Amino acid sequence: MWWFASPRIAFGEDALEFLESLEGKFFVVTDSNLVKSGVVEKAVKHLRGEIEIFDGVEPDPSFEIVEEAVAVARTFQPDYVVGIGGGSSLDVAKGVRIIYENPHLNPEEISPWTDVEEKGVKLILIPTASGSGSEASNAIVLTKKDEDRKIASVHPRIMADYAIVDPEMVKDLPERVAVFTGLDALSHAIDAYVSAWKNDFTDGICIQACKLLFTYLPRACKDRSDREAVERVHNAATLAGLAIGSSQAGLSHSLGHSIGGVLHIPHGFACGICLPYTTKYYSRFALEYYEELAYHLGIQAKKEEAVDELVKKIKTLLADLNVPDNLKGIFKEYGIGEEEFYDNLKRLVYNASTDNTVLTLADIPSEEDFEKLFIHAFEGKDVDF
Amino acid sequence: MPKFFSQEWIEKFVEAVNANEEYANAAKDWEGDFLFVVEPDEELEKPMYAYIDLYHGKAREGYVVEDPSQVNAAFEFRGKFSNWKKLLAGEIDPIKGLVTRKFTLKGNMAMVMRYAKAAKLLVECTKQVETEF
Ligand SMILES: [Fe+2]
Repeated sequence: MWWFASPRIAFGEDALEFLESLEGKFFVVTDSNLVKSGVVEKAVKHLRGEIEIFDGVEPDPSFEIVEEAVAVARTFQPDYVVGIGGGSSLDVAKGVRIIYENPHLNPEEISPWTDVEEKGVKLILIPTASGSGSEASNAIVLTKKDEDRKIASVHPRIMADYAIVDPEMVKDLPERVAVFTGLDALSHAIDAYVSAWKNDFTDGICIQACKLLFTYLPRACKDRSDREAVERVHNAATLAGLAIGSSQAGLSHSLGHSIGGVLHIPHGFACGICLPYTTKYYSRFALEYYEELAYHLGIQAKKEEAVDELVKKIKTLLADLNVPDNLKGIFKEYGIGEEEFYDNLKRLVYNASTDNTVLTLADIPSEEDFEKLFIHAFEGKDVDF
Repeated sequence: MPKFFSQEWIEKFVEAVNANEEYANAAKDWEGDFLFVVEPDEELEKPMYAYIDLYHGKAREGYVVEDPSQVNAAFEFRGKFSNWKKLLAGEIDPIKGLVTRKFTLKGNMAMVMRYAKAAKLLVECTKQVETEF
Protein backbone atom coordinates (compact mmCIF):
# COMPACT_ATOMS: atom_id res chain seq x y z
CA MET A 1 0.00 0.00 0.00
CA TRP A 2 1.16 3.51 -0.80
CA TRP A 3 -0.33 6.96 -1.36
CA PHE A 4 -0.55 9.74 -3.83
CA ALA A 5 -1.84 12.94 -2.29
CA SER A 6 -2.51 16.37 -3.70
CA PRO A 7 -3.87 19.69 -2.52
CA ARG A 8 -6.70 21.28 -4.49
CA ILE A 9 -4.72 23.21 -7.06
CA ALA A 10 -5.86 26.47 -8.64
CA PHE A 11 -3.50 27.19 -11.53
CA GLY A 12 -3.06 29.55 -14.43
CA GLU A 13 -3.78 33.25 -14.82
CA ASP A 14 -6.14 34.68 -12.20
CA ALA A 15 -5.83 31.59 -9.97
CA LEU A 16 -5.36 34.03 -7.08
CA GLU A 17 -9.00 35.02 -7.42
CA PHE A 18 -9.90 31.69 -5.86
CA LEU A 19 -8.80 33.18 -2.53
CA GLU A 20 -11.82 35.48 -2.61
CA SER A 21 -14.09 32.49 -2.03
CA LEU A 22 -12.58 31.90 1.42
CA GLU A 23 -13.46 33.75 4.56
CA GLY A 24 -11.87 33.90 8.00
CA LYS A 25 -8.66 34.90 9.73
CA PHE A 26 -5.53 34.54 7.63
CA PHE A 27 -2.06 34.13 9.10
CA VAL A 28 0.42 34.88 6.33
CA VAL A 29 3.91 33.38 6.57
CA THR A 30 6.47 34.99 4.30
CA ASP A 31 9.75 36.91 4.21
CA SER A 32 10.37 40.63 4.44
CA ASN A 33 11.82 40.98 0.92
CA LEU A 34 8.62 39.68 -0.63
CA VAL A 35 6.62 42.12 1.44
CA LYS A 36 8.83 45.02 0.38
CA SER A 37 8.75 44.09 -3.30
CA GLY A 38 4.95 44.05 -3.28
CA VAL A 39 4.66 40.36 -4.22
CA VAL A 40 2.86 39.46 -0.99
CA GLU A 41 0.31 42.21 -1.62
CA LYS A 42 -0.61 40.61 -4.96
CA ALA A 43 -2.05 37.67 -3.02
CA VAL A 44 -3.12 39.39 0.18
CA LYS A 45 -5.43 41.80 -1.67
CA HIS A 46 -7.59 38.78 -2.52
CA LEU A 47 -7.99 37.67 1.09
CA ARG A 48 -11.35 38.42 2.69
CA GLY A 49 -11.00 38.73 6.44
CA GLU A 50 -8.58 39.65 9.19
CA ILE A 51 -4.93 39.30 8.20
CA GLU A 52 -1.74 39.00 10.24
CA ILE A 53 1.60 38.88 8.42
CA PHE A 54 4.66 37.11 9.82
CA ASP A 55 7.57 38.10 7.58
CA GLY A 56 10.46 36.66 9.55
CA VAL A 57 11.26 33.66 7.33
CA GLU A 58 14.97 33.35 6.55
CA PRO A 59 16.68 31.42 3.75
CA ASP A 60 17.39 27.80 4.85
CA PRO A 61 14.75 28.24 7.57
CA SER A 62 15.41 26.73 10.96
CA PHE A 63 13.24 24.80 13.39
CA GLU A 64 13.35 27.85 15.64
CA ILE A 65 11.71 30.11 13.08
CA VAL A 66 8.71 27.76 12.97
CA GLU A 67 8.31 28.07 16.72
CA GLU A 68 8.68 31.84 16.54
CA ALA A 69 5.91 32.05 13.93
CA VAL A 70 3.68 29.67 15.90
CA ALA A 71 4.00 31.92 18.95
CA VAL A 72 2.62 34.82 16.90
CA ALA A 73 -0.12 32.62 15.43
CA ARG A 74 -1.22 31.61 18.93
CA THR A 75 -2.34 35.11 19.79
CA PHE A 76 -3.93 35.64 16.38
CA GLN A 77 -5.77 32.28 16.23
CA PRO A 78 -6.09 31.89 12.47
CA ASP A 79 -8.52 29.83 10.40
CA TYR A 80 -6.00 29.72 7.59
CA VAL A 81 -2.22 29.59 7.48
CA VAL A 82 -1.09 31.09 4.17
CA GLY A 83 2.47 30.47 3.03
CA ILE A 84 3.64 32.93 0.39
CA GLY A 85 7.15 32.53 -0.94
CA GLY A 86 9.74 30.19 -2.30
CA GLY A 87 10.39 26.84 -0.67
CA SER A 88 11.50 28.44 2.60
CA SER A 89 8.30 30.30 3.45
CA LEU A 90 6.14 27.42 2.29
CA ASP A 91 8.04 24.94 4.44
CA VAL A 92 7.77 27.22 7.45
CA ALA A 93 4.02 27.64 6.84
CA LYS A 94 3.68 23.84 6.75
CA GLY A 95 5.52 23.61 10.04
CA VAL A 96 3.39 26.38 11.53
CA ARG A 97 0.07 24.68 10.73
CA ILE A 98 1.09 21.32 12.18
CA ILE A 99 2.71 22.77 15.33
CA TYR A 100 -0.11 25.27 15.86
CA GLU A 101 -2.56 22.36 15.88
CA ASN A 102 -0.21 20.24 18.03
CA PRO A 103 1.33 22.56 20.63
CA HIS A 104 3.17 19.78 22.40
CA LEU A 105 4.93 18.52 19.28
CA ASN A 106 8.54 19.57 18.88
CA PRO A 107 9.06 20.38 15.16
CA GLU A 108 12.16 18.19 15.17
CA GLU A 109 9.93 15.28 16.18
CA ILE A 110 7.83 15.33 13.02
CA SER A 111 8.38 11.92 11.52
CA PRO A 112 6.24 10.40 8.78
CA TRP A 113 4.46 8.27 11.39
CA THR A 114 3.97 10.84 14.15
CA ASP A 115 0.38 10.92 15.42
CA VAL A 116 -1.02 14.41 15.04
CA GLU A 117 -4.32 16.09 15.71
CA GLU A 118 -6.23 17.97 13.02
CA LYS A 119 -8.11 20.96 14.32
CA GLY A 120 -9.48 22.33 11.08
CA VAL A 121 -6.91 25.03 10.35
CA LYS A 122 -6.50 25.13 6.58
CA LEU A 123 -3.16 25.52 4.85
CA ILE A 124 -2.89 27.56 1.64
CA LEU A 125 0.43 27.67 -0.19
CA ILE A 126 1.22 30.23 -2.85
CA PRO A 127 4.61 29.79 -4.54
CA THR A 128 6.52 32.89 -5.65
CA ALA A 129 9.15 30.84 -7.44
CA SER A 130 8.85 27.91 -9.83
CA GLY A 131 10.99 25.31 -8.17
CA SER A 132 10.57 23.73 -4.80
CA GLY A 133 7.14 22.27 -5.53
CA SER A 134 6.64 22.59 -1.80
CA GLU A 135 3.08 23.82 -2.45
CA ALA A 136 2.18 20.34 -3.68
CA SER A 137 4.24 17.99 -1.54
CA ASN A 138 3.94 16.57 1.94
CA ALA A 139 7.64 17.18 2.54
CA ILE A 140 9.28 19.72 4.80
CA VAL A 141 12.94 20.64 5.01
CA LEU A 142 14.20 22.62 7.99
CA THR A 143 17.72 23.40 9.06
CA LYS A 144 19.32 22.33 12.30
CA LYS A 145 21.51 25.39 12.71
CA ASP A 146 24.02 24.07 15.24
CA GLU A 147 24.67 21.00 13.08
CA ASP A 148 24.77 22.77 9.69
CA ARG A 149 22.36 20.11 8.56
CA LYS A 150 19.07 20.12 6.72
CA ILE A 151 16.54 17.66 8.02
CA ALA A 152 13.83 16.49 5.67
CA SER A 153 10.65 14.84 6.79
CA VAL A 154 7.28 13.97 5.32
CA HIS A 155 3.86 13.77 6.92
CA PRO A 156 0.32 13.67 5.48
CA ARG A 157 -0.67 16.71 7.57
CA ILE A 158 2.12 18.69 5.93
CA MET A 159 0.16 18.64 2.65
CA ALA A 160 -1.58 21.91 1.87
CA ASP A 161 -5.35 22.07 1.48
CA TYR A 162 -4.99 24.53 -1.39
CA ALA A 163 -2.11 25.41 -3.70
CA ILE A 164 -2.47 28.58 -5.76
CA VAL A 165 -0.19 28.32 -8.77
CA ASP A 166 -0.63 31.69 -10.44
CA PRO A 167 2.06 32.90 -12.88
CA GLU A 168 1.41 36.46 -11.69
CA MET A 169 3.32 35.58 -8.51
CA VAL A 170 6.51 34.72 -10.43
CA LYS A 171 6.36 37.30 -13.21
CA ASP A 172 9.07 39.47 -11.70
CA LEU A 173 11.34 36.69 -10.47
CA PRO A 174 14.98 37.72 -11.05
CA GLU A 175 16.58 35.69 -13.85
CA ARG A 176 19.10 34.02 -11.57
CA VAL A 177 16.42 32.87 -9.14
CA ALA A 178 14.30 31.59 -12.02
CA VAL A 179 17.33 29.56 -13.12
CA PHE A 180 18.17 27.84 -9.87
CA THR A 181 14.59 27.23 -8.81
CA GLY A 182 13.87 25.71 -12.22
CA LEU A 183 16.83 23.39 -11.79
CA ASP A 184 15.41 22.30 -8.46
CA ALA A 185 12.15 21.36 -10.19
CA LEU A 186 14.05 19.37 -12.81
CA SER A 187 15.96 17.55 -10.08
CA HIS A 188 12.66 16.59 -8.44
CA ALA A 189 11.18 15.27 -11.65
CA ILE A 190 14.25 13.18 -12.54
CA ASP A 191 14.88 11.95 -8.98
CA ALA A 192 11.26 10.89 -8.52
CA TYR A 193 11.20 9.05 -11.87
CA VAL A 194 14.05 6.75 -10.83
CA SER A 195 13.21 6.45 -7.13
CA ALA A 196 12.73 3.06 -5.53
CA TRP A 197 9.26 4.38 -4.63
CA LYS A 198 8.34 5.45 -8.18
CA ASN A 199 4.83 4.45 -9.11
CA ASP A 200 2.10 4.67 -11.74
CA PHE A 201 0.67 7.80 -10.22
CA THR A 202 3.86 9.84 -10.52
CA ASP A 203 5.62 8.50 -13.63
CA GLY A 204 3.52 10.46 -16.12
CA ILE A 205 3.76 13.56 -13.98
CA CYS A 206 7.56 13.35 -13.94
CA ILE A 207 7.75 12.94 -17.70
CA GLN A 208 5.49 15.94 -18.31
CA ALA A 209 7.43 18.07 -15.81
CA CYS A 210 10.73 17.18 -17.53
CA LYS A 211 9.29 17.93 -20.98
CA LEU A 212 8.02 21.32 -19.85
CA LEU A 213 11.28 22.25 -18.14
CA PHE A 214 13.57 21.26 -21.00
CA THR A 215 11.32 23.13 -23.43
CA TYR A 216 10.37 26.26 -21.52
CA LEU A 217 12.92 26.90 -18.78
CA PRO A 218 15.53 28.69 -20.95
CA ARG A 219 12.80 30.87 -22.48
CA ALA A 220 11.22 31.64 -19.12
CA CYS A 221 14.58 32.57 -17.61
CA LYS A 222 15.66 34.85 -20.44
CA ASP A 223 12.42 36.76 -20.73
CA ARG A 224 9.98 36.99 -17.86
CA SER A 225 7.45 38.63 -20.14
CA ASP A 226 7.21 35.37 -22.11
CA ARG A 227 3.90 34.50 -20.49
CA GLU A 228 3.53 31.06 -21.99
CA ALA A 229 6.98 29.92 -20.89
CA VAL A 230 6.66 31.41 -17.40
CA GLU A 231 3.29 29.75 -16.83
CA ARG A 232 4.37 26.35 -18.13
CA VAL A 233 7.50 26.33 -15.96
CA HIS A 234 5.39 27.36 -12.97
CA ASN A 235 3.07 24.40 -13.62
CA ALA A 236 6.06 22.08 -14.10
CA ALA A 237 7.44 22.93 -10.67
CA THR A 238 4.13 22.06 -9.01
CA LEU A 239 3.89 18.82 -10.99
CA ALA A 240 7.37 17.83 -9.87
CA GLY A 241 6.38 18.66 -6.30
CA LEU A 242 3.40 16.30 -6.57
CA ALA A 243 5.75 13.60 -7.79
CA ILE A 244 8.22 13.85 -4.92
CA GLY A 245 5.38 13.83 -2.42
CA SER A 246 4.67 10.24 -3.37
CA SER A 247 7.92 8.97 -4.91
CA GLN A 248 10.42 11.16 -3.01
CA ALA A 249 13.53 12.99 -4.11
CA GLY A 250 16.71 11.04 -4.66
CA LEU A 251 20.44 11.16 -5.14
CA SER A 252 20.77 14.68 -6.57
CA HIS A 253 19.10 15.79 -3.36
CA SER A 254 21.29 13.70 -1.06
CA LEU A 255 24.22 15.67 -2.47
CA GLY A 256 22.23 18.88 -2.77
CA HIS A 257 21.01 18.91 0.84
CA SER A 258 24.52 18.22 2.04
CA ILE A 259 26.04 21.02 -0.05
CA GLY A 260 23.32 23.46 1.02
CA GLY A 261 23.78 22.64 4.68
CA VAL A 262 27.57 22.95 4.68
CA LEU A 263 28.41 25.49 1.99
CA HIS A 264 25.13 27.42 1.70
CA ILE A 265 24.72 27.84 -2.05
CA PRO A 266 21.16 27.93 -3.46
CA HIS A 267 19.50 24.53 -3.28
CA GLY A 268 18.57 24.43 -6.97
CA PHE A 269 22.16 25.03 -8.08
CA ALA A 270 23.43 22.38 -5.69
CA CYS A 271 21.00 19.72 -6.94
CA GLY A 272 20.87 20.78 -10.60
CA ILE A 273 24.63 20.84 -11.09
CA CYS A 274 24.94 17.42 -9.45
CA LEU A 275 22.28 15.96 -11.75
CA PRO A 276 24.54 14.97 -14.69
CA TYR A 277 26.78 13.10 -12.25
CA THR A 278 24.06 11.47 -10.15
CA THR A 279 22.25 10.46 -13.35
CA LYS A 280 25.28 8.66 -14.76
CA TYR A 281 26.15 7.06 -11.43
CA TYR A 282 22.64 5.98 -10.45
CA SER A 283 21.93 4.51 -13.89
CA ARG A 284 23.65 1.35 -12.64
CA PHE A 285 20.58 0.81 -10.45
CA ALA A 286 17.90 2.26 -12.68
CA LEU A 287 19.06 1.94 -16.29
CA GLU A 288 15.66 0.97 -17.61
CA TYR A 289 13.99 3.99 -16.01
CA TYR A 290 16.51 6.45 -17.39
CA GLU A 291 16.21 4.87 -20.81
CA GLU A 292 12.44 5.25 -20.65
CA LEU A 293 12.65 8.85 -19.46
CA ALA A 294 15.19 9.66 -22.17
CA TYR A 295 12.84 8.15 -24.78
CA HIS A 296 10.01 10.41 -23.66
CA LEU A 297 12.35 13.37 -24.01
CA GLY A 298 13.02 12.50 -27.62
CA ILE A 299 16.24 10.52 -27.19
CA GLN A 300 16.38 7.54 -29.52
CA ALA A 301 19.54 5.87 -28.14
CA LYS A 302 19.28 2.77 -25.97
CA LYS A 303 20.69 1.57 -22.66
CA GLU A 304 23.88 3.33 -21.46
CA GLU A 305 23.91 5.49 -24.58
CA ALA A 306 20.49 6.80 -23.65
CA VAL A 307 21.86 7.75 -20.24
CA ASP A 308 24.83 9.50 -21.83
CA GLU A 309 22.48 11.42 -24.12
CA LEU A 310 20.33 12.38 -21.15
CA VAL A 311 23.41 13.60 -19.29
CA LYS A 312 24.34 15.62 -22.37
CA LYS A 313 20.83 17.07 -22.51
CA ILE A 314 21.06 18.20 -18.88
CA LYS A 315 24.48 19.75 -19.49
CA THR A 316 23.16 21.56 -22.56
CA LEU A 317 20.32 22.95 -20.47
CA LEU A 318 22.82 24.14 -17.87
CA ALA A 319 24.85 25.84 -20.61
CA ASP A 320 21.70 27.49 -22.04
CA LEU A 321 21.00 28.83 -18.58
CA ASN A 322 24.59 30.09 -18.15
CA VAL A 323 25.16 27.74 -15.26
CA PRO A 324 28.50 25.93 -14.89
CA ASP A 325 28.25 22.17 -15.24
CA ASN A 326 30.55 21.57 -12.28
CA LEU A 327 30.52 22.53 -8.63
CA LYS A 328 33.88 24.28 -8.80
CA GLY A 329 32.40 26.86 -11.17
CA ILE A 330 29.33 27.59 -9.08
CA PHE A 331 31.28 27.64 -5.80
CA LYS A 332 33.58 30.26 -7.30
CA GLU A 333 30.56 32.49 -7.88
CA TYR A 334 29.81 32.24 -4.16
CA GLY A 335 33.39 32.79 -3.03
CA ILE A 336 34.01 29.17 -2.08
CA GLY A 337 37.45 28.04 -3.16
CA GLU A 338 38.97 24.65 -3.84
CA GLU A 339 40.51 24.49 -0.38
CA GLU A 340 37.22 25.14 1.38
CA PHE A 341 35.57 22.38 -0.66
CA TYR A 342 38.24 19.80 0.07
CA ASP A 343 38.43 20.85 3.74
CA ASN A 344 34.72 20.12 4.02
CA LEU A 345 34.66 17.04 1.82
CA LYS A 346 34.50 14.56 4.67
CA ARG A 347 31.51 16.29 6.20
CA LEU A 348 29.83 16.65 2.82
CA VAL A 349 30.21 12.92 2.24
CA TYR A 350 28.91 11.95 5.65
CA ASN A 351 25.92 14.28 5.52
CA ALA A 352 24.99 13.14 2.01
CA SER A 353 25.34 9.47 2.85
CA THR A 354 23.09 9.86 5.88
CA ASP A 355 20.61 12.27 4.31
CA ASN A 356 17.06 10.95 4.53
CA THR A 357 16.74 10.99 0.75
CA VAL A 358 19.06 7.95 0.54
CA LEU A 359 16.26 5.85 1.99
CA THR A 360 14.35 5.77 -1.26
CA LEU A 361 17.30 4.91 -3.47
CA ALA A 362 17.41 1.41 -4.94
CA ASP A 363 20.70 1.01 -3.12
CA ILE A 364 22.58 3.35 -0.82
CA PRO A 365 25.95 4.27 -2.34
CA SER A 366 28.99 3.63 -0.17
CA GLU A 367 30.76 6.60 1.37
CA GLU A 368 33.61 5.94 -1.01
CA ASP A 369 31.25 6.37 -3.96
CA PHE A 370 29.76 9.50 -2.43
CA GLU A 371 33.25 10.95 -2.14
CA LYS A 372 34.00 10.13 -5.77
CA LEU A 373 30.69 11.64 -6.82
CA PHE A 374 31.45 14.89 -5.02
CA ILE A 375 34.93 15.07 -6.53
CA HIS A 376 33.71 14.30 -10.04
CA ALA A 377 30.93 16.87 -9.73
CA PHE A 378 33.39 19.40 -8.34
CA GLU A 379 36.01 18.87 -11.02
CA GLY A 380 33.49 18.37 -13.81
CA LYS A 381 34.81 14.91 -14.66
CA ASP A 382 32.52 12.35 -16.28
CA VAL A 383 31.46 9.60 -13.90
CA ASP A 384 33.49 6.57 -14.96
CA PHE A 385 33.50 4.46 -11.83
CA MET B 1 17.82 -22.40 11.18
CA PRO B 2 17.01 -20.33 14.28
CA LYS B 3 13.38 -19.74 15.08
CA PHE B 4 12.17 -16.16 14.76
CA PHE B 5 12.73 -14.20 17.98
CA SER B 6 14.44 -17.12 19.74
CA GLN B 7 17.61 -16.37 21.75
CA GLU B 8 19.65 -17.91 18.93
CA TRP B 9 17.92 -15.72 16.33
CA ILE B 10 18.57 -12.58 18.33
CA GLU B 11 22.24 -13.48 18.72
CA LYS B 12 22.53 -14.01 14.96
CA PHE B 13 20.88 -10.62 14.46
CA VAL B 14 23.36 -8.99 16.86
CA GLU B 15 26.19 -10.62 14.90
CA ALA B 16 24.77 -9.32 11.62
CA VAL B 17 24.56 -5.78 13.04
CA ASN B 18 28.11 -5.93 14.35
CA ALA B 19 29.43 -7.16 11.03
CA ASN B 20 27.79 -4.29 9.15
CA GLU B 21 30.33 -1.53 8.65
CA GLU B 22 27.87 0.70 6.88
CA TYR B 23 25.61 0.53 9.93
CA ALA B 24 28.55 1.16 12.27
CA ASN B 25 29.33 4.36 10.42
CA ALA B 26 25.78 5.61 9.96
CA ALA B 27 25.04 5.00 13.67
CA LYS B 28 28.42 6.03 15.04
CA ASP B 29 26.93 8.47 17.55
CA TRP B 30 23.69 6.58 18.18
CA GLU B 31 22.79 5.84 21.79
CA GLY B 32 19.54 4.08 22.49
CA ASP B 33 18.25 0.60 23.12
CA PHE B 34 15.32 -1.01 21.37
CA LEU B 35 12.46 -3.24 22.33
CA PHE B 36 11.16 -5.15 19.31
CA VAL B 37 7.63 -6.44 19.64
CA VAL B 38 5.88 -9.05 17.53
CA GLU B 39 2.16 -8.70 18.02
CA PRO B 40 -0.03 -11.78 17.79
CA ASP B 41 -2.37 -12.39 14.87
CA GLU B 42 -3.99 -15.48 13.26
CA GLU B 43 -0.65 -17.26 13.13
CA LEU B 44 0.74 -16.25 16.50
CA GLU B 45 -0.90 -16.68 19.86
CA LYS B 46 1.25 -14.73 22.26
CA PRO B 47 3.33 -11.60 21.71
CA MET B 48 7.11 -11.97 21.45
CA TYR B 49 9.69 -9.47 22.65
CA ALA B 50 13.37 -8.91 22.04
CA TYR B 51 15.69 -6.38 23.60
CA ILE B 52 18.71 -5.01 21.71
CA ASP B 53 21.16 -2.52 23.16
CA LEU B 54 22.59 -0.31 20.43
CA TYR B 55 25.47 1.99 21.20
CA HIS B 56 27.82 3.93 18.92
CA GLY B 57 27.37 1.78 15.86
CA LYS B 58 27.42 -1.58 17.61
CA ALA B 59 24.88 -3.91 19.18
CA ARG B 60 26.20 -4.48 22.70
CA GLU B 61 23.76 -7.21 23.65
CA GLY B 62 20.46 -8.76 22.78
CA TYR B 63 18.09 -11.16 24.48
CA VAL B 64 14.59 -12.54 24.57
CA VAL B 65 12.29 -10.68 26.91
CA GLU B 66 9.43 -12.48 28.62
CA ASP B 67 7.96 -9.56 30.50
CA PRO B 68 8.26 -6.23 28.66
CA SER B 69 7.53 -4.28 31.84
CA GLN B 70 10.95 -5.38 33.05
CA VAL B 71 12.80 -3.46 30.35
CA ASN B 72 12.82 0.25 29.83
CA ALA B 73 14.12 0.70 26.29
CA ALA B 74 14.42 4.13 24.68
CA PHE B 75 12.70 2.94 21.50
CA GLU B 76 9.99 0.45 20.74
CA PHE B 77 9.33 -0.97 17.29
CA ARG B 78 6.24 -3.15 16.98
CA GLY B 79 4.13 -4.85 14.35
CA LYS B 80 1.99 -7.89 13.70
CA PHE B 81 3.61 -11.28 13.10
CA SER B 82 2.41 -11.40 9.47
CA ASN B 83 3.92 -7.97 8.81
CA TRP B 84 7.25 -8.96 10.38
CA LYS B 85 7.32 -11.92 8.00
CA LYS B 86 6.76 -9.60 5.06
CA LEU B 87 9.41 -7.20 6.37
CA LEU B 88 12.00 -9.97 6.60
CA ALA B 89 11.06 -11.16 3.12
CA GLY B 90 11.64 -7.63 1.80
CA GLU B 91 7.98 -7.29 0.83
CA ILE B 92 7.43 -4.28 3.06
CA ASP B 93 9.69 -1.26 2.88
CA PRO B 94 10.40 -0.40 6.52
CA ILE B 95 9.68 3.31 6.08
CA LYS B 96 6.49 2.73 4.09
CA GLY B 97 5.56 0.15 6.73
CA LEU B 98 5.78 2.83 9.39
CA VAL B 99 3.97 5.46 7.37
CA THR B 100 1.10 3.09 6.58
CA ARG B 101 1.01 2.00 10.25
CA LYS B 102 1.89 -1.62 9.63
CA PHE B 103 4.57 -0.94 12.20
CA THR B 104 4.83 1.63 14.93
CA LEU B 105 7.91 3.22 16.37
CA LYS B 106 7.99 5.01 19.69
CA GLY B 107 10.79 7.02 21.23
CA ASN B 108 12.62 10.24 20.51
CA MET B 109 11.73 10.92 16.88
CA ALA B 110 14.13 13.85 16.56
CA MET B 111 16.88 11.24 17.11
CA VAL B 112 15.38 8.82 14.62
CA MET B 113 15.01 11.48 11.92
CA ARG B 114 18.75 12.08 12.16
CA TYR B 115 19.56 8.39 11.95
CA ALA B 116 16.97 7.22 9.45
CA LYS B 117 19.61 5.51 7.35
CA ALA B 118 20.93 3.62 10.37
CA ALA B 119 17.38 2.56 11.23
CA LYS B 120 16.85 1.23 7.74
CA LEU B 121 20.15 -0.67 7.81
CA LEU B 122 19.19 -2.13 11.17
CA VAL B 123 15.99 -3.52 9.72
CA GLU B 124 17.94 -4.85 6.76
CA CYS B 125 20.15 -6.81 9.16
CA THR B 126 17.09 -8.88 10.12
CA LYS B 127 16.93 -10.04 6.51
CA GLN B 128 20.42 -11.46 6.78
CA VAL B 129 19.40 -13.88 9.52
CA GLU B 130 18.11 -17.13 8.10
CA THR B 131 14.83 -17.50 9.85
CA GLU B 132 12.36 -20.22 10.57
CA PHE B 133 8.89 -18.92 11.35
FE1 LIG C 1 14.62 20.21 -4.08
